[in-house]
Amino acid sequence: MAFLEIKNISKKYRGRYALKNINLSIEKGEILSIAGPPGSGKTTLLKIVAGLVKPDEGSIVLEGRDITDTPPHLRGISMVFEIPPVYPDRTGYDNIAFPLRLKGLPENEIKKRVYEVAELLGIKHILHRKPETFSGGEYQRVALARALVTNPTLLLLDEPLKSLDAKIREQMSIWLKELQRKIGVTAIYTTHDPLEAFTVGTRTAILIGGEIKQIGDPIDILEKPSMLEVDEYVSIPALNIFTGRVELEDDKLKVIINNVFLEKVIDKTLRERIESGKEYIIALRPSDIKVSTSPSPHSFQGRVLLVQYLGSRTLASIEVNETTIRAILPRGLRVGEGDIVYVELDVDRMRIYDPDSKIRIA
Amino acid sequence: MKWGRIVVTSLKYIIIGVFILWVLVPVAWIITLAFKPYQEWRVAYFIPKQPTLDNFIVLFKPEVFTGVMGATAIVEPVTKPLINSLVVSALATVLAVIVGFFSAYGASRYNTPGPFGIFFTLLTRMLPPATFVTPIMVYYANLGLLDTHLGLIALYSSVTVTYAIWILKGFIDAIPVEWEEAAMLEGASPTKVLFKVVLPLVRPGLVVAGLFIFLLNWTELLFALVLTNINAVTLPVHISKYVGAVGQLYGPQAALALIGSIVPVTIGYIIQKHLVTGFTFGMVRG
Repeated sequence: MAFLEIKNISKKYRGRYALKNINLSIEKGEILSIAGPPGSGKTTLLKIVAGLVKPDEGSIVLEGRDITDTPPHLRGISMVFEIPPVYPDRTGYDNIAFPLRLKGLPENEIKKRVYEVAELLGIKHILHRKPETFSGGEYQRVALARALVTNPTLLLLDEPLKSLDAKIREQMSIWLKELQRKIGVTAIYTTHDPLEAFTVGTRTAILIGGEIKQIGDPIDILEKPSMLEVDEYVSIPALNIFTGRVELEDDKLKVIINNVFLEKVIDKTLRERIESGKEYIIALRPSDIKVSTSPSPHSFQGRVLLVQYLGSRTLASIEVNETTIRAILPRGLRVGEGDIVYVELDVDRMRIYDPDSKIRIA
Repeated sequence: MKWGRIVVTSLKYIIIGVFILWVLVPVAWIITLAFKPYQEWRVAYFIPKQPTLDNFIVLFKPEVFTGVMGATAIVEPVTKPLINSLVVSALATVLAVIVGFFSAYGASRYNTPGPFGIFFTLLTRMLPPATFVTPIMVYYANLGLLDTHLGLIALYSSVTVTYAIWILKGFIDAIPVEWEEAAMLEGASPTKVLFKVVLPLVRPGLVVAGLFIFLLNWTELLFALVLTNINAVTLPVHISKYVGAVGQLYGPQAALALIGSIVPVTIGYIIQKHLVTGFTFGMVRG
């Protein structure tokens, strides 16, 4: 029996599915991250778990108890929202104490618990300041303190770091994961950034268009995406997508993309799933493409169209036989626009998708 | 080039200067007129040659100077209209803001009474008040509300509540729904959410709406003129009495105008701080 089970949850808004048949189970002490592009239904899902939104179908089971019809405040769930619920008219202390005062706890007990949680989150120094003096990170910590002060059985974090800038977001996501491990609270964490989801979550679910497309650990999702949509979503920088004709020849698979020929040795099970002579969608990440200035047996000649600097890496758009390929340049290789380079596609990392269902075949 | 700049700058200051004169001269005129003796009321200079407080004294003790100022009858002392105005304006404001707050919350969060309904509340502001003052007078005559404080409070608050709704709706719209949902998750009932989360957050809005509505009530003339007679006469009605049947008592009228403006100016000064926070509300840090 899992700690939290989300069973067949569906929700429609104006006749359109916001969530469709969602099934998830979460173990005690785990932090599950849900990654999905904006508008994929992440917030709606969390609000359904919290009880703020009623699902059209399905049920929520927490610790073996069906809570689908339980009012939100009796579920023992805390939620940190994208716009953190820190009220600008009162101090950090009063914000964190708010849920305890609602419960009518004695003031000395409140004080004890607020200071405990503030100590844990390292925000004791801002307890007696108004939110207008908080930094972005402090703002989030106060919101988190408010959510934790009630000792929730389940913590829901809805894109809590979205409004922070990139560097602080990275720090905070690691800090958050360590904190969760330390206090052992079970949590669901949503984000639009797949890499952040991989950092924070013990497991990650990919939610696209209101449907869970894949659940697993980061390596699984990155290396074996279930479908093209997932591959496109988790691939940063953006994926190379080609349409190519596939031909089977003995134990070899030949792929023809425009005038580029690729060959790969494949096993029997794969042979049965591929139809010779048919067009498939071929996907390759920019990091799976080798670029060099000298030719090698399997390389193609191409011309550099554009060079982009992405911090530690450099991305080049290269024209090969009228096809544009985006590739990460090896460290130390410097090329300029218009230069001739040689491109080698890593056939082992090539993924083949069915053109109709977009499901991964190889 | 340089001359062009000078010309533009001087033009700018001339326009501003004219505008300031346009606004301030009548005010200055009223202030000086209030301190001028009877002989100087109609003269064309600002500074009174023999400044006096007679104009103020006659407001409260009309029997003392009336004959001297060329009046043919006695105007009642100002005490009662002054108290009436304070009571009526204050109570009508409080009522309008309270009703407005609840209505605005419903309009903002539950979309009641629908987009057309909320627009409909502005209807009373789209017609000239003169069009409905007569029917109201007929109703009030039948209800026994003519010349009563209650009658004025009821009318003022129902006319101004639409401003309260629209001002407060803006403030409530600026509060993220998540802030209320967080409190609900923590066990706050809808009533508690309203009083412990929303109300403290819109306090600046209440001040802004309250001040605005108080000023409207304080200066309202038409309804008071038609609906009151002796008992519930308000300050604007009383001010109008100094020039007319009793004679031309410009001095006392100016003095009363000055007294009448002290209340809103004082209130405005005291709540200045709230006004500023009121207009910069809605900060969510990025």
